Amino acid sequence: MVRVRYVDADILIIGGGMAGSGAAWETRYWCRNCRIVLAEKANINRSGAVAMGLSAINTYLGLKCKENTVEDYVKYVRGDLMGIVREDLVYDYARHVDSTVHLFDEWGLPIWPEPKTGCYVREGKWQIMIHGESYKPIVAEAARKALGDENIFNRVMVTHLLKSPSNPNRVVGAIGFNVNDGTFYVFRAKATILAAGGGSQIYRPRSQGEGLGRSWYPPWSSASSYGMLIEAGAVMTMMEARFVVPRFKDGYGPVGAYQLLLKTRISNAYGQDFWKPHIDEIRKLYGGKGNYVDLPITPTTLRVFAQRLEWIAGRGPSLMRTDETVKKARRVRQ
Amino acid sequence: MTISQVVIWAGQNHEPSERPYEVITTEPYVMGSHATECGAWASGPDDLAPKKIEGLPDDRRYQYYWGYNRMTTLDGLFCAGDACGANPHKFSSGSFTEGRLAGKSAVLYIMDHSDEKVEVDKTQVDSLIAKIMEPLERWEKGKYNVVTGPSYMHPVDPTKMYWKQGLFRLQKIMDECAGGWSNYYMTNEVMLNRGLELLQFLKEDFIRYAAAQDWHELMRIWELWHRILTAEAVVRHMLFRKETRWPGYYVRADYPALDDDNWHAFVNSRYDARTGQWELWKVPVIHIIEFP
Repeated sequence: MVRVRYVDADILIIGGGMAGSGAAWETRYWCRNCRIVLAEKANINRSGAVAMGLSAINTYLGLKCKENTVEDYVKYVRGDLMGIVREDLVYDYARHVDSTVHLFDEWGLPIWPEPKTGCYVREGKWQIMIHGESYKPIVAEAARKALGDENIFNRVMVTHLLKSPSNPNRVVGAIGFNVNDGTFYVFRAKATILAAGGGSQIYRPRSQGEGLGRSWYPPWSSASSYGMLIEAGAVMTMMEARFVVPRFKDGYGPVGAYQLLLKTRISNAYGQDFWKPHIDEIRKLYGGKGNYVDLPITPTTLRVFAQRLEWIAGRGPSLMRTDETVKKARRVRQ
Repeated sequence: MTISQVVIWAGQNHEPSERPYEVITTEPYVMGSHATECGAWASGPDDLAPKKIEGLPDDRRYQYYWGYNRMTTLDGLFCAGDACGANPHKFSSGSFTEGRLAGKSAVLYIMDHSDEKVEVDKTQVDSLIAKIMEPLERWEKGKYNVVTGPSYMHPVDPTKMYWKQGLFRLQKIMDECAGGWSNYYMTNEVMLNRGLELLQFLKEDFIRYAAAQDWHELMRIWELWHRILTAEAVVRHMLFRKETRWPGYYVRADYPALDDDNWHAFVNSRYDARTGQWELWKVPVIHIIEFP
């Protein structure tokens, strides 16, 4: 016997990670009388990619302190993706992202302050440092208060979008089930915001039997965003741009704090530079119309590629010279 | 530093002040929020998106704007975070921000469509529920077909595919054919076509044999289905783009260089679930900020 519950709402939000929480907060702001519901596969307090916490916020422009401009940000993001981004979309979130971070600050997220200027401590040009263990619970609290706990359906995995019987291009909600007790939920909604996760564990992970499920992006990011969009016939873009990140081996600890904040060097196995030996070849193959190789911030993909050439040549692994950084810090202190 | 990293360092007697530590690239991930841009093709904001791109069909597949910021090509469906493509580097704060943008836009949409009645077809719902339940029923009906297996997670069973078996199979295909780490992230047309062929078999087997012993496994099974569909999109897109644009992420060894003359463009796609057919096409990149 299947138990089915119908839930009628003005707006359905699928996924209670960072994006879903933002949607919850903002929809309530603009529509006090709407019924807004949110379905979350886990529990919103610790769900999504930020569940475990973060040590930095990677996108903060610092417009208030005139640290950057939106134009420079768009150029940076475009360069990092080798010229291909929707600049209208990037510009749009970039011009509003500072206000989001200021909300987090107000809600109690500990962001490292810069006492002299009243700005935040910079990790890198676009990144700021936080004490982020409780990042997600803090953000989730705002979303929960916006919607009311009775409108948050924890432990409900949404599997399919629902279409209007009279208009195959119209989404009218979604269907899912409670992963603990098997109750089915049929959400009927005037508008649906899909904010489910990206995809890990699609490719064979580096950690297998000995550390099964260990990956950089969380194992619960099941590509449900894309799966549901594809099956419903939405137009997809740039699915070939699946990517890899350079991280500390096996633990996937963040390298940003060392690289950006502490300016730690990465070398090949023999302490040598990995970039210079390959720069001519890389410029020839990947310089392109955007002079991508010579941008102020070298695109991640090219730096990663140069390191890989070293590995293939038998001069791997890449080494983060934490030893040098710590010794330097000791000298400064003495 | 994360707890997981420090645990590994402690377990290996590693002292970061004495020795450097290895940095390695992970397995590939499919994402729209980090330094990458997979996801739905969505309408841009009113004041920034090019309104009508001349020389292209007046169709959401090609255009940047159709009235509601972050609305996908499907009416009433908005995207945010990893779901929304072609706008990378959102990370945590940008994903929350995009959720806000999509939320505001969704409110505008329901105000504009306040007289529209939401109708859901009971037959469609019933058949979907039956489909979602099928792996559980398959287990219920065929549990005495299990050949052996003291291991709870890996019963040996010629008539069923459990989630972990399906997942490992998917990961092997993607790793070996579509530029995973075991191949130093290299691929070519032959490998990708082979991957596509193997993915079709996997899809067929999923439909015929997927089995789940409880609600938790049923979740894992549907997660697997989402991953399989995503994987197919990834392979088809990689086949379509005949160049190497992000060599650190993957190299199409048969087209090892970047080709801005032909491929300074988005690759878009659409799957028709009724016919099983995919369409792929290019959309030009419109720079609103001076390029380069």
